[in-house]
Amino acid sequence: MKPPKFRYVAPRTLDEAVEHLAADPDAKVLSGGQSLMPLLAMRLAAPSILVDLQHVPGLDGIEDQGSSVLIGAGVTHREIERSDVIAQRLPILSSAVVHIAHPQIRSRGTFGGSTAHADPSGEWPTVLLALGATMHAVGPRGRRTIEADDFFVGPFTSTLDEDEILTHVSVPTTRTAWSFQEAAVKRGDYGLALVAATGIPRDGQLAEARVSVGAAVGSVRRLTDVERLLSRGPVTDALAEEAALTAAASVDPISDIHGNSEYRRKLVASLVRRAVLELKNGA
Amino acid sequence: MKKLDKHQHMSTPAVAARSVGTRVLRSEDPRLLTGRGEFIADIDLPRQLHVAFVRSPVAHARITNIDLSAIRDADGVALAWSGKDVAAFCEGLVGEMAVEGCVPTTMPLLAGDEVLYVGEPVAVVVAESRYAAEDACELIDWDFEELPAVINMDAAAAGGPVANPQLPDNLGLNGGASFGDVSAAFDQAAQIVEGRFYTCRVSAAPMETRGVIADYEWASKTLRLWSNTQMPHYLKYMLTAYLGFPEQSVEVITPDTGGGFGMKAHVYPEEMLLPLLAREVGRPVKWIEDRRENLIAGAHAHEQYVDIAYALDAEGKITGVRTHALGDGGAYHMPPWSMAVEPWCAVVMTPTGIYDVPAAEYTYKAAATNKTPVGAYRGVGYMAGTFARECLADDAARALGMSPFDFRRHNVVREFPWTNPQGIVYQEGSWRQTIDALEEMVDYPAFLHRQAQLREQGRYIGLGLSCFVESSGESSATSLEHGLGDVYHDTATVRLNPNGTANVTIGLSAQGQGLATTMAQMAADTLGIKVEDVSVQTARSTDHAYGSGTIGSRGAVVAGGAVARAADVVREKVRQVAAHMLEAATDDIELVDGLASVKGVSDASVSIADVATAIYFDLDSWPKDFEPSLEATQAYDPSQAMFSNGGHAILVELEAETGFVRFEKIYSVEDCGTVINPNIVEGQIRGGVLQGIGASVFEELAYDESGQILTTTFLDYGLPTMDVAPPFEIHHLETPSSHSASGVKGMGESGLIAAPAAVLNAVNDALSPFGVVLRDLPLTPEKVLDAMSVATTASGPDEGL
Amino acid sequence: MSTTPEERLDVSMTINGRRYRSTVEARRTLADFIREDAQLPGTKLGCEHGVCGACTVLLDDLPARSCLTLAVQAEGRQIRTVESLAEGQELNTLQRAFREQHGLQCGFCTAGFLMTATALLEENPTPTRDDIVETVSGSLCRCTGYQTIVSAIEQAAAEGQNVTNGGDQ
Repeated sequence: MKPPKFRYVAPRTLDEAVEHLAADPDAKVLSGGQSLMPLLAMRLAAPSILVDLQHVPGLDGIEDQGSSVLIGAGVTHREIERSDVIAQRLPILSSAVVHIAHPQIRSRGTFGGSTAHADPSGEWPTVLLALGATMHAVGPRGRRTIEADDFFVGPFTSTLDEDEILTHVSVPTTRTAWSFQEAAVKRGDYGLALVAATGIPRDGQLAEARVSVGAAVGSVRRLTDVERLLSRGPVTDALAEEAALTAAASVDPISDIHGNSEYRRKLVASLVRRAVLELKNGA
Repeated sequence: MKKLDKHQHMSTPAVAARSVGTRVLRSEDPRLLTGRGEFIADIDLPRQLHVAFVRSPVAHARITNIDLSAIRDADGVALAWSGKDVAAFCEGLVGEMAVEGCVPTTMPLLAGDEVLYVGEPVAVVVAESRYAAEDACELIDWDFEELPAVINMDAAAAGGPVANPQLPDNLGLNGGASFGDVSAAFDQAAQIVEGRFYTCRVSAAPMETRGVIADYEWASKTLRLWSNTQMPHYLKYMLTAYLGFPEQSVEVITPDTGGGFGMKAHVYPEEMLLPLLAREVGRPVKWIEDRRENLIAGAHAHEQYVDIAYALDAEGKITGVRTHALGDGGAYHMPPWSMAVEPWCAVVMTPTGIYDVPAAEYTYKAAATNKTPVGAYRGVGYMAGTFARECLADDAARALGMSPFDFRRHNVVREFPWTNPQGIVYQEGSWRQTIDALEEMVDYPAFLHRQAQLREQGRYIGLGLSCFVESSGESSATSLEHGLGDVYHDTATVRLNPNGTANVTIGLSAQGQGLATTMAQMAADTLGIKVEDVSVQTARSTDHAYGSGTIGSRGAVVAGGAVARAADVVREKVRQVAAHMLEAATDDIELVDGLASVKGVSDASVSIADVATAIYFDLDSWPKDFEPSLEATQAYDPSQAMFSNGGHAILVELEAETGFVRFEKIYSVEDCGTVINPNIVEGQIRGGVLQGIGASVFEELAYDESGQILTTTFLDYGLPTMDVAPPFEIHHLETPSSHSASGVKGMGESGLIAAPAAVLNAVNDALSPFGVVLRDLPLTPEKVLDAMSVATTASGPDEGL
Repeated sequence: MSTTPEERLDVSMTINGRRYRSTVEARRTLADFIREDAQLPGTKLGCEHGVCGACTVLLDDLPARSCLTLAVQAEGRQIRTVESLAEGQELNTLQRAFREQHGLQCGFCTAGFLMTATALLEENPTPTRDDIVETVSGSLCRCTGYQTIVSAIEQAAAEGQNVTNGGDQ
């Protein structure tokens, strides 16, 4: 299980990195490599060039900007796990990060890499969708921002162009009611189902609820039926139960060797119930 | 039944235990802890080339064209062969076992006209690096016509499309036997309990994959073959028998090995191919299996159905047992064994277990399918058979309204020696004591109380029990006792050095069992010296002591016996000279704690070191006609089959929302006779039980309907990790064997043999409020949650059950 | 390092305090570099896709899978492997604890556990049992059943694992 041949370059500027990506359609970004390297080892990916971003300045840092936190794409999962800013301003990220693989992976894997990978069972895509984060990308046509709702469009597919680089993610801190739930057989396993739910507590109710589901479905998506339900009134046990039923009815889960569709539907329902109950307690 | 003649090499000396029985720290560890172990991947020979295989991507196909020219033209490629190229040297490896109804198969080294399973080697490439070899493999140009893939063993056994043309009715094995009046037992039964139990396909998945290095020197016709095999001497024999390398010039070298668990107790096509490649290219060749190959093409294990039925009389005693096993053998018999290792072993070795059953009947079948061949994995056959029997025992207990402890106690054999209906003799055992010990360890009344309390909170815990008896110290006698005629024996060489230290060489390769430490303990006690003064070399080379393989829980018993016998010859020399030096009779000399002393005379002693020095350097100390070699090689083979016993009780909780099975605690009782080193015995229990937990809950090699294997990485084939691994409480019982050195019995397999039954029984106990009984492994979250959903109504599960 | 993409590159890194330089293919893994180019075979490869953890080394003091890192990514970095742990010719506290607790059998996975545990104890000399479980859960062992590995790390923590490189970051 040895990777196929490719060329490698470690540019020193973002512009240089973008140039390399633009020059060759089969060039790929290498960030932490924790998802890419297994694909290379199994020869499921065959990039012509790997553009290593580790020496590109400006992709690091976790910056509290008041109503949002700006997280550099090169920030490692481990840095998020240990960040006081994250713990205080975006505790849902602290709650989710420990589900990402193991400490030995979290030390290398990056926030931006996992986000751009758009793995349907990825913690970050699920969480960022529930938070309504904004992606900052740069490419040969300049800089642009992409809302999470427009970013994750399919399994391992985002709207980031092949020659664009995700540089930062701006994550709003206003959604102070939150819950992250994951069902995984073993610690660090890919989850069988993930649910993230957030909202803004307002007058004893939950405003602007966003609920997302990952892993159990082909690509991360929001559960808009559940969101609508949550906006109807105070979060109660009964509402949590109804949210679970609604979630079960509105997802079309995948079937694979780790769990069939019906099983995953039950999991999604349970996780949504748990998440809503946690929102209730936090709201 | 044929009786085994008693031979000299079946007796062992009596030895005073000093080091034996203590927690001696392992001599292997300092090397392994500092990165100084030498595993096969760590060995590099000058000028070596690297090997990679093209493996079949389809389950069953006829190859219509295969063209390796692009591979041969690729950068750095020295050689590429397909099946045609290698057939001239070797037709393939025969797999069969001398049991009724076994039809042999020949497994080609590289597929011929047909590929029969995903992962079957189709072509081999030799190149400058593993990277280059894998690059070249991608250039294969071949065409094939897909044939129907035979995937389901029930369908295969019933006929229909043929998986392997060598087995036209898809049966590699078909037979049975009956002992005692089984029909009467079932006709007159007050109650019959029966069930069909399924053990899923798994992989032993040792952390180190397989590997082979071959170096052939044509001028002297010398072949050196490095392999992390569990059977180096047998492999050497096969290299001569199949390939014609001159036996006297073949050396098989077994480096440090990262676990074997039976997967490495086969002879594989890769081990036969590498020497041929080395001879062809005139350079050493090295192949290290990658993990995907290991999961796809290393021997698979376990997959079979066991149908078992007990006839119970009005008092709840088992009066007869009927067992039928149907194994999924995969595409070929796995050389040198066969498909028999699962279904045949399961029904022949296990149906009576610890129970006093007077009549037994069994049948067995192994179906050929287009899947990877099934071979040995720790406690092969025993696991599935024990699983079926012990789970049926719980079914019977439920049917009779007895506790699982009481049902077992009610039926357990109480008097030894006991002869089972097949005529297999069990000399001794602590079978009833095991049940009592486990019941006390788990505090059963307290458990029942807690279980009831938690159920009221919607929490479901369960306790599962499983008792085992396993043959150990695999020997000629064991083989004969079970109706086979395989001959086993091992040798050991012991040399006492001039300063009173010893070097020991055994014929068994080690895969992590700590044989270098336990054998030092055996030698030290026999010679009367300190364990630190003994250095043991396991079978690193076939140039030294002979061994029949590190299989069947035989290491401690058989190597231990050979070491004790060889050390005893040396001990006699020391006693003779000490007697001469002390002017006493040889019979009065005892060797203990570094001293040769005259029995009963407190100040008449000389150090063993001084005696050894004298034998090497001081003629005056020798008695008349003394022969001074302080080196001896002796063989050992136990004269009778021997059986270890014990049991596990496993405590689980089922998560109501997810169906996850969580393991709270394992209680283990083990009786392997005299314990040489409790650390090592306990390590074997923990590791084996966790493999049993893996095979019960977390692991399954899955195939789709086209015969494509879906679990080719550790992401999909999930081994247990620490977060799901429970703590243990281990209790030792010691019922020494009457005929092995120091009373040692073999162990190491019982964790995997017996844990799965305890897991299923525990899950079924937890599920009892739902009125559901599961019988198929693995116990996936999906199955468990389904079971828990059955009766979950608004009012909750029925508490009456 | 070159500013044009290359298939072969010069790479240099410090492993266990010694500088290693070589010209390698871009695709060469750090694990292969350590084992073959630097001739330090104590680091093992058990799966080559980042699950088993046998290849774990310390990369700038943090545990990392050397099979999931390219050698060229480690340009200029500090690597520590299992060969760095012994103190002179004595086992260090952690290694001794593994021996005393029987935390290894075949020894193939052991380097990964030792390096992971070293990183844990350097960052947090008094880990909770759950911290240890979290760390140990990131590697596979097929022999021990894990409990004795956890006990060994607990013992090493209790005895005060020697911090050899100043701890985290």
